[in-house]
Amino acid sequence: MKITTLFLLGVCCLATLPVASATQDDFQQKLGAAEKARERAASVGGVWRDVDKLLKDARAAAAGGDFDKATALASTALTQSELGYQQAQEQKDGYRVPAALQ
Amino acid sequence: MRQNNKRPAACLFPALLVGVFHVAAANADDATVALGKQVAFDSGKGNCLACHMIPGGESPGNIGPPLLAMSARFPERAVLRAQVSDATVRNPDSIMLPFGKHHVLSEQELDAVVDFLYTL
Amino acid sequence: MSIRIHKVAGSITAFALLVSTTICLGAPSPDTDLAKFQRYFSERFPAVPFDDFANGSYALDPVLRENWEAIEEFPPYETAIEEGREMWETPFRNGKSYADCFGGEHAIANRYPHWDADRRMVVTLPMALNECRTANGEEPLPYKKGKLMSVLAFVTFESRGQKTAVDVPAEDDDALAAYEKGKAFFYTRRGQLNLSCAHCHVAYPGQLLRSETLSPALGHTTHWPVYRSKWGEMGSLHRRFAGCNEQVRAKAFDAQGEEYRDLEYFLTYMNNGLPLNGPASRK
Repeated sequence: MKITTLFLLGVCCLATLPVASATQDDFQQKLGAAEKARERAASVGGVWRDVDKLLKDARAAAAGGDFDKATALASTALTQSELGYQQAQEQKDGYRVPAALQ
Repeated sequence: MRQNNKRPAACLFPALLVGVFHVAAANADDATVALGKQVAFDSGKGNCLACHMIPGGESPGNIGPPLLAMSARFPERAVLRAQVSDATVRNPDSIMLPFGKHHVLSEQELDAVVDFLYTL
Repeated sequence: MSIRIHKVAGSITAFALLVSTTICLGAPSPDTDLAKFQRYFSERFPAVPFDDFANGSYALDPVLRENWEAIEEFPPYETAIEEGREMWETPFRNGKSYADCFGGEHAIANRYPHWDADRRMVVTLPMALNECRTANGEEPLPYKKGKLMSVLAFVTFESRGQKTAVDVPAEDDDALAAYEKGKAFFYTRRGQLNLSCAHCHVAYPGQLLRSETLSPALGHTTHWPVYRSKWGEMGSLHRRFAGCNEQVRAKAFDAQGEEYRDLEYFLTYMNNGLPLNGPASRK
């Protein structure tokens, strides 16, 4: 009984702690992915306005040791870059001229 | 603000009858609607007033239709939510921003805005 | 198909056939684009005389126009014209001047933008002015604001009354490609807000975005550089392009980069026939 309780407590701690705080490795991984996605978006002219600032702020937060914030910012930059790339690809041949002007 | 102050007293009588859980639920809805309104009016978030007339909002744009009678126009919540999330699905020429698809709003903010729209 | 025609009737006939087929099918060409574009705005705003589109939103709203005309009584771009005149008349360090680059003339705004057949690219007026400077050993000037705006203000002021007259040479595939790139840019959704230029300035001109009246795309290119109250200074067309891109939350492209030069080429072509009336003041 006692062992089970301890085991459960241990599981709880292990399960919550790593999720709650990102490590430097987590951040580096996310930043690398975000930078790659940003370049891919740039190759089709699909970079969104805030991506570079998000990456800059992410690096600054990491330099200050706040890897939670840094990883979250890099993650947003990654999402925005993927969406910007997708948008540019969709629009490449899919842009629409209003009917009256076709 | 005024509404929020009044609400606990108004909820007291039904709360006594049906139990405390309903009070919690009612307050949560109020809070969501209040968040939705805030997001809708915030020029850096929903900025709905840029294009839509909304009761209680000043100097609205007139690009989109006035946001009125929403439950009559959108009986199904999922349809309204999808419209706010990405209006280009129903109309590929729509000028309306894809608030969900492009992460302009979070999922939670999107739900709150829809809650707020249904009060109009 | 075209090979068979070629064999049967010879290249001249084939060419004529292809051209006429294109016209019959109504396939987009700069000519037909232009006609449809201008007819669209004329039908949408039947009370606005064609030339008045050069005045932007002020052609659509009498109250806006009144406020604007009050500002134009003491034009905020006047000092820029005077500074530009002085720069134009002051020789470079090598003794040459701007006029030497442009055949001794200064009313040259209606020559731009144009397709440069030798360089295989669109050349704009700001670019030509800076290239004149560097060819004579002077530093190039920034393209969005500052002293180049003054030279531009002088040149456009001296060119007032000329008509917009952009040519897309039909025999040059690359010129047509640059036009098509500019057209694609104009109609492409971009940024987090997912808007194209056309969404605001073709589909909804004259309507209110919050309390701002959206301007029609017909008239966008006639009057640069502009003294914009929001800027509190003079700025270029490409500065405005960049501002619009950022408003839809897209990363702006470089002023005088290929994207904006091609966009300017398409958009100015759509404005063909309108009077040049720069510099101007805008909100």
